[in-house]
Amino acid sequence: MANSYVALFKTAFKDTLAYKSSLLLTAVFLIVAPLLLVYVWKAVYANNSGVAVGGIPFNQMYAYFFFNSVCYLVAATWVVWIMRDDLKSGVIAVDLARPQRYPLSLFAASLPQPVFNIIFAAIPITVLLIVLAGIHVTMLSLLMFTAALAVTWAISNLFAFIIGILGIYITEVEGLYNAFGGLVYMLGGGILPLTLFPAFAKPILFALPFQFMAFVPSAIITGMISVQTYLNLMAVGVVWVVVLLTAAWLFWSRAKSKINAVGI
Amino acid sequence: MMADDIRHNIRVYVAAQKTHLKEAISYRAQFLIYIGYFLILSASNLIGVTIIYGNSNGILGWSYYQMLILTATAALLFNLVLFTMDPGWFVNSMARGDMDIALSRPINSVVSLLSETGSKEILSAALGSLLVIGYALPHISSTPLQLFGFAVMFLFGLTAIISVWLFMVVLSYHLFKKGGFMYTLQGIFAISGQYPKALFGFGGGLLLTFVFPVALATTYPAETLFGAIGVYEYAAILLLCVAMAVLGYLGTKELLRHYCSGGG
Repeated sequence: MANSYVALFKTAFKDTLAYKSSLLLTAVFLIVAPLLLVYVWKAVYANNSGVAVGGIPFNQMYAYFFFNSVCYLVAATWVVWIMRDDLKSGVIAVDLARPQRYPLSLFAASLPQPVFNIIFAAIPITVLLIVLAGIHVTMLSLLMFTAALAVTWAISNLFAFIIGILGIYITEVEGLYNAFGGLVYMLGGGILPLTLFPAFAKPILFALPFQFMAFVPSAIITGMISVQTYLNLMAVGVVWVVVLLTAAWLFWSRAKSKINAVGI
Repeated sequence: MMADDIRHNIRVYVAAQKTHLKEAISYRAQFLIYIGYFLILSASNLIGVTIIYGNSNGILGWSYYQMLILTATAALLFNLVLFTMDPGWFVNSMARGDMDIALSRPINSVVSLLSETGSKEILSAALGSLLVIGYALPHISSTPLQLFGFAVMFLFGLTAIISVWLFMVVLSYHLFKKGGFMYTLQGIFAISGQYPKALFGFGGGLLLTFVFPVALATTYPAETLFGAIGVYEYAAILLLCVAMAVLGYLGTKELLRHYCSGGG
């Protein structure tokens, strides 16, 4: 049975490679975006008479935004789009008849994109950043970074799956998924490191799962947060993974009986 | 005769927009979610600028309210560009051959393409951006003439960008047959438009003025509003907008002459 998921992964990976130029351009542009922010922050720091903004040195600040791109590359998923197309076309009925678990086959088919992103973009960016930004990296911080990225991947895919399930009820989930992306950007540290937000907002932001989509991995690798803070936040992240996993399982158990073979 | 043609093209374009709006509203849940999403994006810009100015002395001598106007203008620009066309959908439709019908219509091919797509829900975000501009305006001392100059230059710049962006989207189809990365590219231009072009150095400034002319609809109109642009410079920028719009249009027409359907 496990072999069938591996086969799905391999096929999807080949599909992914078929559009190498497009994928590489996406990866390149994801690197260019934080490069623009380097200019912005350079000007902010220059205007601030060299005083660290929010206690964050310049090299940490610009590295933070590059590592955000690494997080986005790892969080990239096709789950919601595959589900939407399967539901709309009715193909999902055929998939459900196969001797495979549909959710697992979804993840197998969606996995190539982050794998491709990690090999061809995330690892090179991480190495370059460590060298160029002069970020002090230890084996421990790399391990913590990788563990946080695993939570990033899990939360991203679980949200995508739950939103995909909602497609059974509301037909079109594109808006909902994009809204989720907007929330991730705004509340997850995409705009700025969460430590710069006003004091009243921090307890809320640090209790939400969105912080794992950018802030937590980027902050630990750049040294913006202490190991103790990281461990506290990771505990929150693991709780969120369990909550989302349970919610996904419950939603799927209820919703799959409502799927019809002619699509939506 | 030419006036009749233009009137006919405008009629078709307006009719298409009405149809798209009705289609968008037909998915009521998605329509409302999208409105929320675009408002989140507008709020993100406001939050970003507010936190940067709350933690530092600002950027390149621009005041908080000036920067609010600039970021809201950039957001408005990209809201209206997205209203006009959805780049990824555009390229993928060409790859599937879905654009063949559009290109065989007895109207201008560029108008026909622009009639096919665009996110209509984004008008809510455009409204959000206008509210931010309206909030910041009383805090800067601008005359009605400067405000008028700002609006006119923004419209000229918008036209230039839509024309150049359409050219780049069609070029993306010709070169890669995929358009997913165009969203990321669009995001890069959106970020660059939120800040004064001087921030990106001489090369960046040239790129943002003459290659992808974001500055023509963001930095220059904002500087007009603040009284930092002279009459001759103003006229030269308007002429440049016209030149970029014409170049983009001719480039798109030329590419469409070599269009080869990806469908079938």
